[in-house]
Amino acid sequence: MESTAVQKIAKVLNILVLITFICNLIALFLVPGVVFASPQARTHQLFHVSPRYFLLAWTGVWGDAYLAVLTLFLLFSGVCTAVILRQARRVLNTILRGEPFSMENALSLNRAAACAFLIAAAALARVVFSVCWYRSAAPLATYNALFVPLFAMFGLLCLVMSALFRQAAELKAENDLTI
Amino acid sequence: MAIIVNLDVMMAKRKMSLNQLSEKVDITLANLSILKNNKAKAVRFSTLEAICAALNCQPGDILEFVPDGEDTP
Repeated sequence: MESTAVQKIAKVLNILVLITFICNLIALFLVPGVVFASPQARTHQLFHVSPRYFLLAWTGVWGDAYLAVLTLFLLFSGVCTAVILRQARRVLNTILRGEPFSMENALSLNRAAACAFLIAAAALARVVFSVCWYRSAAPLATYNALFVPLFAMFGLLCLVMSALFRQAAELKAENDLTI
Repeated sequence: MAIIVNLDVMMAKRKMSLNQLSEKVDITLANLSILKNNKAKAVRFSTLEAICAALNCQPGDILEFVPDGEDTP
């Protein structure tokens, strides 16, 4: 009964992660257009919701250093987030198959940890860039600065979970060969 | 592996097939094969007890210690 309840939760979570993953991929395409519409951009008055605007933004956003850095950071973080969500789906699929304790899950969580650390590093780089750009410590008090410890902690959590799954897989393999 | 399982020797002495032993001790054929082919990592005492009861033998008749590096007899 317990495993069925966990699998029901995993099924709901799998659907939610899939929706988030699809939204993540759509958002990746929209990033330059949204950056163009931000208050810091001189072009924010040109914003209007149309595919042509978002396509044009892909070429226009590299003209300004700050917008280019912001776009690069958001695209890089978006790709890493998509990888994290993909690994989460792989783990949930093994839970739905009834085979959660496998080396495959340990590897998936390792990949998720690596992506989390990359996002934390990118956020740190953006904070440093913003501090130099504005020549003040104000960027240290923004939500972006929070990404650094948050994603670093998430990466460490994924590493711990990966070690747990690896040990569980080894114990399962030994138990499977215990007659 | 240092512990050798001589299940096939005792089965031949008792003229019992793997299928018959599997039914008697209530272990799947797959698991008995793993045991017979020395692929098992561990054996539960309950399993050993059931096999010894079915084959009317002692654990020492089925299990043999061969130090690593020596030839298997």
